[in-house]
Amino acid sequence: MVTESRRATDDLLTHIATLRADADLMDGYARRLLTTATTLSGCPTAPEGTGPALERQAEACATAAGQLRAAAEALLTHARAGG
Amino acid sequence: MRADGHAPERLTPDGQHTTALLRRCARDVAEVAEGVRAVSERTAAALYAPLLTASARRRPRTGLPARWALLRALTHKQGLGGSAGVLPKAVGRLLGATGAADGPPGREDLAALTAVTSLRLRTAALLADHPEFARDPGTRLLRTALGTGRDREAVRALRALFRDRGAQRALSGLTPLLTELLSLRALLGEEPADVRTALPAGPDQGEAAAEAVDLTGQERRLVATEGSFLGYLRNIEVLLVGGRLLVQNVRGPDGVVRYVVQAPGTTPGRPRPDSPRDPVGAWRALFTAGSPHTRAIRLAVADYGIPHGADLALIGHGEGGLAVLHLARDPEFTRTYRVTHVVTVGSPVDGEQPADPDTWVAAVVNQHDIMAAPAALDGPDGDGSAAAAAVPHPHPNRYVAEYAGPGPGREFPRSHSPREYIEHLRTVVPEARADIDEALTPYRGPIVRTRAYRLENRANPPEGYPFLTVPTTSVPTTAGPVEVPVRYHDSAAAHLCFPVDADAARALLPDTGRLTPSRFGGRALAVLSLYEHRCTTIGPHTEVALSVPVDDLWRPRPHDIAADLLRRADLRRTGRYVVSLAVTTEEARRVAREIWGQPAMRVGAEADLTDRAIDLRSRDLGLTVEGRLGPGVRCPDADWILYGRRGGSTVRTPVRTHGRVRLHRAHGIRPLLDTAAAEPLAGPLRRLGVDGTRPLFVLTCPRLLAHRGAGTVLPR
Repeated sequence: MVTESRRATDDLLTHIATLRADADLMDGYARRLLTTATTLSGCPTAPEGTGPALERQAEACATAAGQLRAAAEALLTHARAGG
Repeated sequence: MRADGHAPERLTPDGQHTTALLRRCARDVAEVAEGVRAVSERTAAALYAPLLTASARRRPRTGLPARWALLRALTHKQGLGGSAGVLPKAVGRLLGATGAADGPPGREDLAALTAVTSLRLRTAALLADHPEFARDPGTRLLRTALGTGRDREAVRALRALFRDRGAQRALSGLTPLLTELLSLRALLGEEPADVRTALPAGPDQGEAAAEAVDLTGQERRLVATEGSFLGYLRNIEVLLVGGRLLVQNVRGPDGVVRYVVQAPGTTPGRPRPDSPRDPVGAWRALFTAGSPHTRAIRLAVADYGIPHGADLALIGHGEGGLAVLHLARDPEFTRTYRVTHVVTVGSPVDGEQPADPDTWVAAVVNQHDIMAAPAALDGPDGDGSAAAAAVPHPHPNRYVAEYAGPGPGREFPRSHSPREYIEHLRTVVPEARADIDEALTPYRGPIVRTRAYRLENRANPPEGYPFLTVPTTSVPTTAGPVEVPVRYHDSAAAHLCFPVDADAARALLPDTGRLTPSRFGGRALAVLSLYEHRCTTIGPHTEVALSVPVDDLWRPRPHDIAADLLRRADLRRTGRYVVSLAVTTEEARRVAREIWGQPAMRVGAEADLTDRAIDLRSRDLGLTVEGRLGPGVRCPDADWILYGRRGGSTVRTPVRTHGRVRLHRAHGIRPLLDTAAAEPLAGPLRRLGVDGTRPLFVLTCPRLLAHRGAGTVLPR
């Protein structure tokens, strides 16, 4: 029983670390998309509406990053409670 | 516009090349899309982890909020927007999820939306580099889908496109975008099950076959009798139609007999010989070692009876090049035969090594051949520059000749054709030809034996089966041997029918005494036929034909044509005499003139006949036909007999068609002439009084299969 509980906690901690790393990744993606939108703003042949679309997607990436961090915190609370 | 038909490269304010910039941005965004998808998958894995599920049951006070937070992160519309898979609809709506609430799972998530943006950028870059692709039916479908409203609507439109069997053929022609399309299709979860399961896992799977076939007399005359690099390439050009492969014995300068396998690829706009059910998936399968194409080549080599341990050179063009590279990387194959040389022309180059390190591998790539070098124009620094000659390779057994083909040959698919490569190897990069010839010295000498094989994939029915599965024969023309019946695998047609003055129509017919216009209440009929041939055995082209229905040549009777409508096509006595014919390729022109006796000329023309709005423009003809079709009714397949003239005799050609033909009242459609010239088409149209006139009715078929047999010369 103790072994199973420890396994569950270890598993949760792995997921927490992954979620945090993914949150950082999503922040990075948001920055990349914003940089791309800025780059394309000076490109006369860029398809119409690409810039705003990239900005929307960057915003979604940032939102997802926040939600992933929140999920990591909730999982951490659960793990501290004994998983 | 430059002399080669391409728009000059535009620069951004900070001096960057716009197309290179678009491609770079597209790649960046595509990487983000893949990354987002991976994050979604990891989040879903955490949500459904069995240990978390069990622990949440044990401690619901902290477990449920944790799972709720994960669910929200995975599915929130303003975030990852993914699917919760089995999430109940009500819960999904509560969370603002897109997948479970709005439709099938995982469809319009952030990864898919980002991938669509990448595809938009890549398409814009392609069209800036290769404006000829704007006419491609696949590009038209793609642009329509991508231009559909907002991002989510575009994703839905693309999803519908991937599910549409008819659209897949058009999309498979978009070779430069195939990587993006395949990746997007996987992101949208639209990869068909039969393709996933069809991915080869081993050499014994699938139903590849290779059948020994005879070459025609003309082909035998064209096949090289002396081994040389250009000779082998010319053989590949001869075999391009019909999905065949050539194996030859050549006696080298040292007297040793060696073996050469020559594998052609397929040509865009011509039917595939291996008859895949899903062309896009099949194209991807080519990149795997166990593809049916590669397995079929292996079978041909085995059937030819090459002794174990014999020296073998593999030469391939396009997809054939990919297939022979796969063979060279197969340890079992290289244990059986000693693969000494592999030469690919117009095939994508990758860094993978052959199984035998002593195998000499050469690649010839025209940078304007986007099938072989989809990203080559980025150049080393992304500015479109690239070397224009053979590039020394650090590995002693590797040779890459990468160059930028000059002039009008930049346009795809011409830039991919073996003929273009042969010409470039003669004139643009002769040093590459000399280097490869030198390396192939053991394979230069008299050809001792030649055998052709037809490669097949028996897992699927032949393309166009059963309608286009007809016996064929090869007919010599000045454009090379042509298989008849000519098969049209993917065409669209619109026939505009005008009542015209019978005397004016008669004046356009040859004075044979036998050809008389059919009459309808004292009037004759003129038919202006527009065709958009997207895939045919003589290549893709556009066709504009003006014809006049004529009575039975020997025993004309009133109402002949009405009675003929009730007869089978092969029993009909009436037909349409082709007064004037314009086609957009030289091959189509020669076939029409030499086989069907029709007065064909080659012109430039663009047609879009797939929609309710008809659009055909030809500056050379001074002709525009545009307008929207009114409501229509289904009618039977419109088989025809066409008449032409050759050497003073009348030539009768049956045309069998299959498709959903509709009869429309023509409200807003009119042919308009914008030329003072009398020929080639404008004069007859004016004399018939058709210019600017509304047709009586229009017969349309946006997706048409057809075959036209060899013309029969009738007795004088």
